[in-house]
Amino acid sequence: MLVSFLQLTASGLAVGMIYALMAVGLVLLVRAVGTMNFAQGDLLTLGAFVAYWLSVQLGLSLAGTVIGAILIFAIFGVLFMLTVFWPVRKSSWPQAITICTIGASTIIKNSMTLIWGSRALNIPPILPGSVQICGVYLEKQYFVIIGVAALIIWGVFLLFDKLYCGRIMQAAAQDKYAATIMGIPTFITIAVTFMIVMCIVGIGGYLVAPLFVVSTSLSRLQLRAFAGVVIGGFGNLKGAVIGSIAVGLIESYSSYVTTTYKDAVVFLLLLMVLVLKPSGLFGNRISDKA
Amino acid sequence: MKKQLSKVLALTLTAGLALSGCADSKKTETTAAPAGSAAPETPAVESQAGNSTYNNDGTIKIGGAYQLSGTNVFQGDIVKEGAMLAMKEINEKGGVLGRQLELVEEDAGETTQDTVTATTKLLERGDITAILGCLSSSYNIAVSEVIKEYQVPLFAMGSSANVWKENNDFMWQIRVTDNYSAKVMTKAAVENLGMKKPGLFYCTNSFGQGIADGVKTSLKEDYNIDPAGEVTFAVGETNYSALLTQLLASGCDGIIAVSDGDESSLIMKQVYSMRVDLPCIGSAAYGTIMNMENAGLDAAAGWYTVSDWSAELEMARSQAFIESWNMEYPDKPPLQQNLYSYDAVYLLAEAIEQAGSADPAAVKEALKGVKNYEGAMSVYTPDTNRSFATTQLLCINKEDGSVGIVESLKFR
Amino acid sequence: MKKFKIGGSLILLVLALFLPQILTNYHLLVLNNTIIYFISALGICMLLGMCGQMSFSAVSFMGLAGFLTAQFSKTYHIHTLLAGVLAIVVTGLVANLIGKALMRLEGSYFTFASIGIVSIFSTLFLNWKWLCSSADGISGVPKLNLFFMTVKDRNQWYYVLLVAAICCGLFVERIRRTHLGRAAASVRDNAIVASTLGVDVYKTKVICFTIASTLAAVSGVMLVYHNSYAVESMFTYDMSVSFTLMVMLGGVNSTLGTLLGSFLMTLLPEALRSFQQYLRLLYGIGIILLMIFMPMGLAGVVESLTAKWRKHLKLKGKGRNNE
Repeated sequence: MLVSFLQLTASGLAVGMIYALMAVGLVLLVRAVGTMNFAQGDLLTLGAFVAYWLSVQLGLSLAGTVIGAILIFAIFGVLFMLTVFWPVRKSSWPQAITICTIGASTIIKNSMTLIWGSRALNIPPILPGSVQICGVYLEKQYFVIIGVAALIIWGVFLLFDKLYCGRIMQAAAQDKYAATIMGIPTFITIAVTFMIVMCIVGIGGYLVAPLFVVSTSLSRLQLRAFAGVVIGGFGNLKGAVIGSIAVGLIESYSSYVTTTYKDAVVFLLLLMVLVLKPSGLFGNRISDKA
Repeated sequence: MKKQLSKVLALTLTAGLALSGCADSKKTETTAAPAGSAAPETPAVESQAGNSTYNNDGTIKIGGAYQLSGTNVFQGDIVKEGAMLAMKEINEKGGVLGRQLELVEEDAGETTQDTVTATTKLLERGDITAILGCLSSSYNIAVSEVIKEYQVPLFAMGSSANVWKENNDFMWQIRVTDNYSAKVMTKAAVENLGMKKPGLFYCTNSFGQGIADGVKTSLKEDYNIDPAGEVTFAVGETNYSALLTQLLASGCDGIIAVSDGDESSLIMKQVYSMRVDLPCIGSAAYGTIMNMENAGLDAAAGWYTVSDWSAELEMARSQAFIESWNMEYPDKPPLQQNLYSYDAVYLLAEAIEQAGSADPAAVKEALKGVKNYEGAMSVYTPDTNRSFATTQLLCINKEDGSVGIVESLKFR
Repeated sequence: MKKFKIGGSLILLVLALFLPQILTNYHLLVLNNTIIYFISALGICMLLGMCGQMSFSAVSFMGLAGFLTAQFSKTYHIHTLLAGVLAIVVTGLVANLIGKALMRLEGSYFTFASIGIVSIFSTLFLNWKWLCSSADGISGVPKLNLFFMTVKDRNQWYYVLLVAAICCGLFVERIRRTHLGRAAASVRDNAIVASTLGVDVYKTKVICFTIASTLAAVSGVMLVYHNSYAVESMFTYDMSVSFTLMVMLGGVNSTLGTLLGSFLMTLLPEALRSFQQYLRLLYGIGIILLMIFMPMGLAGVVESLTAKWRKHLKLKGKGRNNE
């Protein structure tokens, strides 16, 4: 019993951290841009494919892959912003940005299939092999994921809560007009936000790829990240992280109850949380103004 | 406003009814092939009617209605690669009846409605001799009515028993159907691997459920065994450690796993990393080199599989296929699914030669008469359910990535 | 202006009646599919355009009604028309229950919950044997029997679908002019003010959701009878996305706009067929371009053009008066 519990907890935690990385990206984008990014899962997949390209096809070492990946992600982040968000930011219909991200999702997905073919690919894990704890064999990659993801998330908190540039970005996100008056260059802050988000999500893809396969089906993970964001309270970074980890663990533990209807269980729980506490676990009950 | 509404409605209804009446009769007059009447067993008469369209000096057109883009493009590509290789080989040797083969493709899209649209578009051309269908059975079942209407044979690449249950004379299955594969798997699990309390681990799509149901029935009827545990998962599932933990908790003494592509590699990976030391038998995807590589050759080693083909198969055509494939597609290994369309094209070529005509009705009759045709994957003779393959293999994965054949089973 | 609109639509109607004579089987099939999707898109138009809620669960209710009608008519041998009506009613009730739960959520929360619904129903369509018979679905569903005729062939389907689409379109237009329509519009524009004015926001949203889902149910029943087949892969999440796009393309608050949008969205992939594997890529690029240049959809473009034209005329007229 303990064995299975440990196994479930470890895998749930690892997967939950990946969801958390995506969720953090989502929250940052919501703050900066105002809408949800439906292409988040595809950005994760892109991260996995880029990592595949660098580490397997080009044969770079770990350091080379990481540095190359971050560079590529940063450039892609800006590209993404310029093509998907910037032209529609002043649109007369606010949902237009959401629809643009849906379009972007299709484009990214199909480009990856056209470039790398449709067969599933494989990346070797950063730390191959598994380690035995209390009679359970846990993959070392789990610990790599949990460690690196935790580091990244701590870095994001640090940036936005403690550092000056983070506070500038928050200001620009909260009220663009006021920020411009104060002399904050909104274009740069939004561009930097996109770059950071892309790097976070891309690295998440690189981390998760050895656990799964490198294929466009990885984008399915975004739904769980959305669930995490919503459970944690919209727009709340801490809540998003905790919510995502919770979703990962619930997903794991739900196999005690049913394996066929696993998706259904996760979403029913999500619905229950929302019905009972509509603003999410950590959401602030900011009353709307008319 | 209300008066205008009712006036408009009344006008539309009456006009619509009147026109549908006349249109219906008009359409049935103009279409040459009567849709509802029984297909006459005199191909000579019909081939005369469509003689010039099908039997001129131009290319013989084989239609391809599979996914060219979208979520399932992987399946479509598999059918495409095999078919194109076969056509290239046949055309290099002079073609069929002195004419070259041509592949006419339409994207079958995401949903079954799109597949029906693609197939209708192909059939409407009026010069397609036969169609190669999708890998997935539900997409084959969806086009059943259309091919019956146009009376053009379709090679279904799916293996579900529901395909032949359509009782459509024009639908042919290249593979051994799931009800047989399930029996083979059960027999191997119990007799070869000695499982007494097997654990079933399968995907909830049509393939997984079809085989799993067959396995359960076979276990009960032939060996009076009930599975110790049964764990299911959806397509695209990524987190198997939780599910495997559940399966192992049931105390099973062996794993019978049924799933497609990506899931297989993940399951083999997970079973290995959890150091599970039980005999394992899987469906065909577990012995496919691509999935074995994705899982890691160490993880895949030791798994038994029930496959349609293995690279070790000592048939001349099979070895020739591997050589030809490696020249055409040097950067990817052949999968057994590529052979479905490869052999289907060869079977069609054979049928066209036998019929002496590219007329669909004649080809369909000729397909019925195929006997012991040696393909690259199997020896083909159609049974009463219009399914062609006669053999399946019980294989075992080896550490070096090869798939050794334990036993070859012949069905007829 | 109104006379022009009605006259124009009547002409279009008469033209529409003669289409099957000139179209091939393939074109007719595409047209039939377009009309079926249009009915579902009408529901989204109501929910998004009239009431301001973005939902992606239309496809689940299409599927539920489709599977129910297949089961009722094939397994239980209920008369096909009755089976269809029964399926629509049951789906409407289920949608009402789900709506009551979901409508407690605001904006984006509701959208994600609707995506979750799609996920749940998708699993049900593959696994709940009572509903779906097998993972390959239910094939050989009996043809729709409308008492005076059995709808077997594409031509007949075209007319039946035309009548159904016109009825649904007029129904939605009618709702726009009722108290419910105005209440929904006020909820869309400013829910807080609406509630101060006595509009029951929650109830309005639930009713809109139920009606939208019932329209989707009608569409699903038609789809299943049209194809004589009901399987999970007929009701994918991508379809819901394309319904939303149809509505946005055509003009989010316009019935005729939704019709135009449906045509565009269904005809676009067909027109792009020659691009084969680049189809979806171009489709995605097309979506972004459309959002950049036509966010209010075609109806929005038409409206702004006519407004400019009217202004131009007015100015011209004024000029003359001043002389």
